[in-house]
Amino acid sequence: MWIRRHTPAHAAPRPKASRRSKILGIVLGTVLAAAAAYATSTWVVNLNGGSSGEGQSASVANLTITAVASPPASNLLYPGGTGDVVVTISNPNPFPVTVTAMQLPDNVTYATGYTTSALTTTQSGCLASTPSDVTWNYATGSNGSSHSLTTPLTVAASGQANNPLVVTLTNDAAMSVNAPAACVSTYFSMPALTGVSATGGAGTATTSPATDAWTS
Amino acid sequence: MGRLKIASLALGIAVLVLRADPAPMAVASNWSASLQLDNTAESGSGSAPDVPGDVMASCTSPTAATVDVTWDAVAGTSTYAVYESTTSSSAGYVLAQGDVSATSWTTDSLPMGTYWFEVAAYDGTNWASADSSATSARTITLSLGCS
Repeated sequence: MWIRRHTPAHAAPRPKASRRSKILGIVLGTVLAAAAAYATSTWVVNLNGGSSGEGQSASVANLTITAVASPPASNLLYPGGTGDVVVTISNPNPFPVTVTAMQLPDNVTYATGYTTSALTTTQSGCLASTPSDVTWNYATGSNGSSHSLTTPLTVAASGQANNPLVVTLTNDAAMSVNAPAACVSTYFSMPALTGVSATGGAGTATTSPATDAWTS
Repeated sequence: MGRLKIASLALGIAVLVLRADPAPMAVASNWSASLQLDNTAESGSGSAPDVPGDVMASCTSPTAATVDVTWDAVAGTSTYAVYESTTSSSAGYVLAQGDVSATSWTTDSLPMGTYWFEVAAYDGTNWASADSSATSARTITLSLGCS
């Protein structure tokens, strides 16, 4: 028997299906729009080897902190006193990075003295092993103690102005009263920092040269 | 119903695409930057204290066997050291008194002889100025005291 397919006038199924389609279409459109917006507002960064799936953390290229002789330190070290430390911070990442704190080696890790600001020829009698009695100010008996900067430093993205960023850390080096006489008029390579607290992505770049410090 | 299936399929694909994309990695505020291990930083030290000036020796009194040594203050100095010599103005100095925080010092009663004095400024324990010029000689005699 041939049955003609038809839609009874009172059933009206198509408007229901059309409403669902519209709702799904809106949802789908929203999801796709969000995905598109997401894709255009974020960066692609290097990933840790083998990372996959969701929940992986991004790897960010390490910051580089390097000694620099210019500008010269305004506050020089004397026995029992503190002095400035000058560094450049380079950010190799394609986005700005904001440094909020630095982690210091312990207070028995000493700086090495050099005869010139080029830090090429060591100063006899004023070495880390002598010791020079020059340490990071506020360093503690523990390696890796963290010290917040008075003002966060934002290093511009790679290739941008103010990267590298030259920073004078005011009075963040310390010399004990027992510093050797050989450490008079000496240039010091400070002990390597053990780390920094830094986040990437946002912030207005700090203008170079900058002045900052930790005070505790 | 056909459109519904297509829409559902598209939605499913979109969700899968988002799940495959490592979305949390791109949240800027969660990125953490590290520091290379061989980082360096530079500082510098100042110079040794200036040489004390106007170093003078004077008899405490004509009848006493003691001498007052005085000098000008040196900026940035924590202590001074006084040296004496009974040999000459240019040699034979030995430490008479260290850790002097004032700008004068008086000897104990001295044996007979002729004395010269020099003073050095100290910053901390080990940073010292060069020795000052020698004072004029002071002589202690048994009968006349100090002259």
